[in-house]
Amino acid sequence: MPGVKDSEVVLKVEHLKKYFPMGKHAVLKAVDDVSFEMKRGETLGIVGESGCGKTTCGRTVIGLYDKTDGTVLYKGKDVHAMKGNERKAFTKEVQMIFQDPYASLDPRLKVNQIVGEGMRIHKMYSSNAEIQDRVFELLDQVGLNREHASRYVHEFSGGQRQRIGIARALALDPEFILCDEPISALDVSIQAQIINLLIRLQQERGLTYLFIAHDLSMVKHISDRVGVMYLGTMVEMTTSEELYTNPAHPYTKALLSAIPIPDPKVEHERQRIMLSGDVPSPINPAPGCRFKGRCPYASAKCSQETPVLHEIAPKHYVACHLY
Amino acid sequence: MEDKAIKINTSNVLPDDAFEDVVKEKQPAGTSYDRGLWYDICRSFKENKVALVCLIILIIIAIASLLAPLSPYDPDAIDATQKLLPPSKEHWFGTDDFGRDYFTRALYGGRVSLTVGLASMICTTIIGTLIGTFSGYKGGKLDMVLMRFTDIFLALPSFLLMVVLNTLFSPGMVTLIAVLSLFSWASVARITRAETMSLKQKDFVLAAKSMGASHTEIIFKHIIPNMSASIIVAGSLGVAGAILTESSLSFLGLGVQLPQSSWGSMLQLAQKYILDRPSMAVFPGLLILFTVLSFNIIGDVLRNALEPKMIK
Amino acid sequence: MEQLLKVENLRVSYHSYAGEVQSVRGVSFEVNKGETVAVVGESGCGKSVTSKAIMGLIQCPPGEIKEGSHIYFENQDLLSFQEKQWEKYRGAECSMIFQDALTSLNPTMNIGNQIIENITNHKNVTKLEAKKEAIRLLELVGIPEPAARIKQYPHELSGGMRQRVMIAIALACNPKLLIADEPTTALDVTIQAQIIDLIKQLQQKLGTSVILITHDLGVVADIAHRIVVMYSGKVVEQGSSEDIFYRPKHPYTWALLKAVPRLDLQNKQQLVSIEGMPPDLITPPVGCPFAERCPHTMKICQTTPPPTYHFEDGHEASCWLHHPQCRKENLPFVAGGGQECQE
Repeated sequence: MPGVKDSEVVLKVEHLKKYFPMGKHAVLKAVDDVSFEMKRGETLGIVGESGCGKTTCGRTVIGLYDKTDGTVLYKGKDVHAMKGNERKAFTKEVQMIFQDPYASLDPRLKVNQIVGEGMRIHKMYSSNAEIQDRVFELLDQVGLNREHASRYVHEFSGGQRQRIGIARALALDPEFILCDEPISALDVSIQAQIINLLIRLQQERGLTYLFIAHDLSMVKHISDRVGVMYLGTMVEMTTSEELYTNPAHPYTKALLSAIPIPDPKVEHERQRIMLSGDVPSPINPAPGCRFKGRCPYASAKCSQETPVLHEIAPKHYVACHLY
Repeated sequence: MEDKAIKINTSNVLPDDAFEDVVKEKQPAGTSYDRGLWYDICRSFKENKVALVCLIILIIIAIASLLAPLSPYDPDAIDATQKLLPPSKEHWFGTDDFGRDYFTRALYGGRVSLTVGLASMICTTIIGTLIGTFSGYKGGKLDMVLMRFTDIFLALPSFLLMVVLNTLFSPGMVTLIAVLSLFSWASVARITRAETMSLKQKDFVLAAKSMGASHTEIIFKHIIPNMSASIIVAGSLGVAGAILTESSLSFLGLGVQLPQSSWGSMLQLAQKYILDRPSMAVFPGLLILFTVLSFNIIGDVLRNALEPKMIK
Repeated sequence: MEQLLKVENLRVSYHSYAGEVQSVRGVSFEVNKGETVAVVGESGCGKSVTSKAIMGLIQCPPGEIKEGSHIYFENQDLLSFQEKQWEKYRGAECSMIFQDALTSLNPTMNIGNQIIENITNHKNVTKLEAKKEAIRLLELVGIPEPAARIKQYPHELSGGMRQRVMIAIALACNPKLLIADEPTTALDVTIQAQIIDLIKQLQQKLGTSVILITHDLGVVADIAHRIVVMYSGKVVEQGSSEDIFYRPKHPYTWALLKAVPRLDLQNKQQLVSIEGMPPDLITPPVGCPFAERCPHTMKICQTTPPPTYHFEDGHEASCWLHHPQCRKENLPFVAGGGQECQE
């Protein structure tokens, strides 16, 4: 299976499945047999178009959604079987940063209440003054001012709100952060700020990131390894360098070629791999490769046999019959 | 090419130190345009003159009712010589058929009407919000059972049952409040349940959950505060409704019992003299009208003021 | 090239709860016939407000178009239009597509009827002719089996398809100007590439002028002829696509160009970002609006707004760095990108 042999495995996901029943005969297979491992201090990026199940995958992994099948082991313990104190400790170690900085912060609370909420839940400090000091420290770390602590979130711009979201996640001294499209709702100029902040925090604190996004260029930049998802399945997984220099799966190639380059001459000359059509529905998918309908290399084999993830080069796994 | 830059350059040469570098500190926090809840509420009232008038009317009515004992007249003292006097300097609203000062009775009636209205509103919103939020948050079978129960209460001919209950139990203010609350929590429960259903899907609730917050914490810290606008509107409509229902019940003689007065029972009394002394009906009628109208309008203004605003 | 639209000193304010927000503060630019102009800037820089002003969609109040603003469309001042004239202009002369196609389409009407409605509103044709035209339009925007699709409702279509329908509706009356307000922001990268490609093809085929509003310079590299860079309600730089990408003159444009991570960058290297936030437009700064975040700020930047410097071929930038007295060294791009300002 794709992954690392290192003993410092933090997260181990095996054959994870998450289905949503849609009426009597339909099943939405949001995540269908996904496996991966993550080392401490590593960033694993997951990319894919909307509806590919990457968000569901992330939320199932940290136990926010129940699984349908498979196992998720965090430091050797089954995430979905945790109860009581074990579960509470897990919710302290594993944090989440959300996509929409407008919906993920409670509009009725002030910034210091939002950032301090987790500390109060886990009773990390005995006095309010200590919590207040810690909130100031966190705001400093994410590049906000102390004055911001007493304001409501509706006074902040998208980038600032995302910083508040990051401060909230950091408040509990987590080890693992699920970043669920943290930049896709932001302007390009602000995206770089947030990415820089996340990279700096990782270096300072040795955090492990599961980074979900649809923008391959940013994911490639922040991740050590990248997994590409298509309709609930992992189609390719490798190091980010390898993914960029040597993409194997036709879908990955198309994704790479769709990234706009801010250079008119290069843009005019380059040949895009244009994918025809849209992502098909994940409800009752047909057997065989999920990408066959849009794949320029699809053959008869693709509709009969479902390709499995296999290693084509060291640390490079692809699910495609071409290899 | 004609060049603006040249013109600017030649006409005024700038001092050289203007082009020196600036050492910058961290960007300041920027101005906050949030001036607090009270400012928002005051501002809404300032902008909406009708609401301001309503507020003043309500305050006057409330203070006057509170200060009713200061009136030189006893509301229950019967004086056959002073029967049915028209409004005058001594008796501002005139007197009734027992010679009691009508103004003083209206003040004491206001005490009853306002107390019944406010108390039943408080009971209604608390019961309704708790049931609605709990039902919406838990979902599933419990939600179904609670909502059918609510539907039953909404479907009952409430006024009729209120009449029945009021006759069964010893009439009085407590019975009135209990009966009114019993039949009006259902609509509040409906509203809060719908809001809870949508709020519990929000990312900030998910965020609290992922941080390990308990259900009680989520309900009381995140869900209920975010419904406050709808609860306040429901509450203000509730006060208005309760005052009206109380008046109707008292009008039918099922409200507070004599000699205690309420605006409704005063209207009932006035019935007999509607042709000779219409002012006896007009005064309590106007009081009910203004109070109910004011509560409705103020509820609307408060909702707008409490809505979190987008500033940037 | 013939001029189609000319925006002159446009100033728009919104009267908000907190005070007067000066969203657009003196914007001037032109659009020629058959040209694609990209308006680039962060959210809140006034780019959408500008496009709404061109469409006559600013509600007054809370909006207010200030005295002295002019928008000329084929030499007619739009701002003097009466409501009747606006109705004739919108849709027929100039039409707009929005970021969120799902909320811009009517969910209770099938897409065919939405297109037909737009055609019959502006043209004197029979229902049948309009239907034929609708099918032709859907085919034009690359929707397969248009005759069958015409009966579908917006929720039955995917995001990319909806955006295509929006474009078909916008093109229904052969407008001379198409305004696309962040048409691809809500879409995935592969679909984004399709839509940009479609707009480019249609533009070449129909000769429509296009104003493309976006926050991502990368998106417009392939399609824009000219680029207008906006910051906090002002145009800070404008010029041809080559000027902006290869010879940018304003520090904000430099930063925007560098903020896009290139795939050949070293992993986890710090990206060049524009630190800080755009200024507050209720009390805009007295000097250059970008001074607070600019890495090259000088004393004068904080006290006096910079004049506009003109370079060759209509390339202009508002920045004190181009003042002859400025002796700054080690500036990015300028050295490689031709001469400094004309003197």
